[in-house]
Amino acid sequence: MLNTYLQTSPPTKFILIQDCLQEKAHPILNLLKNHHHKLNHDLSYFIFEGNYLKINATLSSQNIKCHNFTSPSSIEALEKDLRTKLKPNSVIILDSLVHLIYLYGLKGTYEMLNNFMKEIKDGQQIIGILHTDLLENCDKVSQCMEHLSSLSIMLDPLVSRVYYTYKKVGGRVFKQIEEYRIEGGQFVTEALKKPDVHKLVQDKINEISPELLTTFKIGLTDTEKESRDSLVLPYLPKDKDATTVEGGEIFYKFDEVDDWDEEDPDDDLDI
Amino acid sequence: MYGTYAKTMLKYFIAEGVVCKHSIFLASQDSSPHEVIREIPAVIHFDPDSSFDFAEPKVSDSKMKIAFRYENLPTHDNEDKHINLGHFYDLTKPMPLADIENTDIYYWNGCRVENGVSAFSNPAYNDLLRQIKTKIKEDRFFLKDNPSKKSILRIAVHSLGSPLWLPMKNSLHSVDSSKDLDMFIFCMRALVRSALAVAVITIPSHLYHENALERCIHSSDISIRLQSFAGTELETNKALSEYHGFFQLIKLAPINSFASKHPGSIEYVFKLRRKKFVIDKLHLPPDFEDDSDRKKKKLSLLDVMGQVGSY
Repeated sequence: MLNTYLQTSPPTKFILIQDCLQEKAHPILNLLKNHHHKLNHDLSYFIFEGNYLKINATLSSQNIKCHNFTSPSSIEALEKDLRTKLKPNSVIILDSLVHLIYLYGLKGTYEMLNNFMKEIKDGQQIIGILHTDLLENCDKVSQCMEHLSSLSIMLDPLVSRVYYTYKKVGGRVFKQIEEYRIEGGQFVTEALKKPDVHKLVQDKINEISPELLTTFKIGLTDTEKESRDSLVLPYLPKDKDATTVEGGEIFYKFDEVDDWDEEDPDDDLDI
Repeated sequence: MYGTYAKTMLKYFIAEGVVCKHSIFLASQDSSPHEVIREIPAVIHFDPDSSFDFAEPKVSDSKMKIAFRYENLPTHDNEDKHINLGHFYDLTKPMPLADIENTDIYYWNGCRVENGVSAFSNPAYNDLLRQIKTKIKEDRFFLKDNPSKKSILRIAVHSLGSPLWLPMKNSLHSVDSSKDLDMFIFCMRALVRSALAVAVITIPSHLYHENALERCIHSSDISIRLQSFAGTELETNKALSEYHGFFQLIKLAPINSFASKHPGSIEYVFKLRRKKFVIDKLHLPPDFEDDSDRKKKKLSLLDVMGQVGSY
């Protein structure tokens, strides 16, 4: 389902990807890059961290325009630059929002993005990457950014799960959890399989065998069960051909109504 | 959830003000107030989706043999449906511009906030309070003014306390602090109490800690929480599948009376339909399906127990 939300048409206005050192946002970014390349959208990559020359060399080969913001500039300059790059069918990637927050404060960054969002039209998209492990006040910042975003994705590498919130234009909100894996550099997600509770209980019960709980033998082996079944109790009528007993013989005659009780054979003795 | 439903309710509040020719003070930093005004719903003169009629409750013809005491009682509670208050609106149609232009509306978007000395860490709070006070003063809404023609000022504040209301970067307050919000609501209540004014404020509550919200509720007269089902287990609950969330009346202050009119244990639910925002009493459906489920569970449990016993 996440892939559907990532590739909606017109594109979701603000995608927020919350990643960490163990699981970076690149697989999702690659998925989005490929999708936008197919649709001939302009991709602009605003770099706030890392070695600009290196990143530029890699991304230029993928036909992505890079913009260097690794050295601090004023928020006005950044806002102006963002506006000039905003053309019909353009996609802006901000890598990463943490650097903006440290430079301009949470309020400043939010205000800038909020103003920018008001101007975004159908066909345009902003993708922001938020490194949650670099944040001092992670919960509050991620709540605030999630409030602004239209699709917020959070990766949890410990359990290989992706948590996402998608806000429809009409106002409906979808919150989902999915499992993810990376297959050959591709980001693949699939819905969580809900285990059948009855089956789980059954399995658990089958696991707990009373044999293992006791110090003595409680069950019967197959051969023992067989011999038990083949045993004919002495008071029961035997097959006449088989009986060769001479002299006395016990005849057990069942009453017409309710005589034989499997659980308590001595019920009729009135003990 | 994320202020969508609250914004719709706020639009109803503004639209009612426009229709009743009240003065309106609209404040929002998140969306442009001019845009919010453009989106307010148009008034319609009847409720098209109304399923109930205002006629006398029909008496059922069939005789009851056992529960005969209930025979002549109406099938559902009609007492609160006869109240003819306010107007009906159609969310799909915007209010005609001519109606809006004739209304006295003051817009505040926090763009021209001056950085003065105030008790608030974000000067926007101070500026908004000051502007509301000026509006009340200039248009003679204070109770002491004793105006000849009495009208009401409707103050609508959209998404107060959203990240745009956070303390400035160099402020001593941490981003977690809700001091500004608490103080604003406290001052606002005092201001509104002394004037012919009513204020509706929407707050994105998911951004705040429960304690901070409690303080806001304490300083307010009426507090409503719209608890959306989206993303919670309630979303898949069959009994609630028709609705979008709980409409919780957290507080209903007993103003000018001793007893609160709080409905007690009645639960309300809401749904945002294409044309209107509906608030209903929650009636849980009969437990038929669950019953068969429970029987099944009981049977399977007996099976399981039987197997354990046979070991």
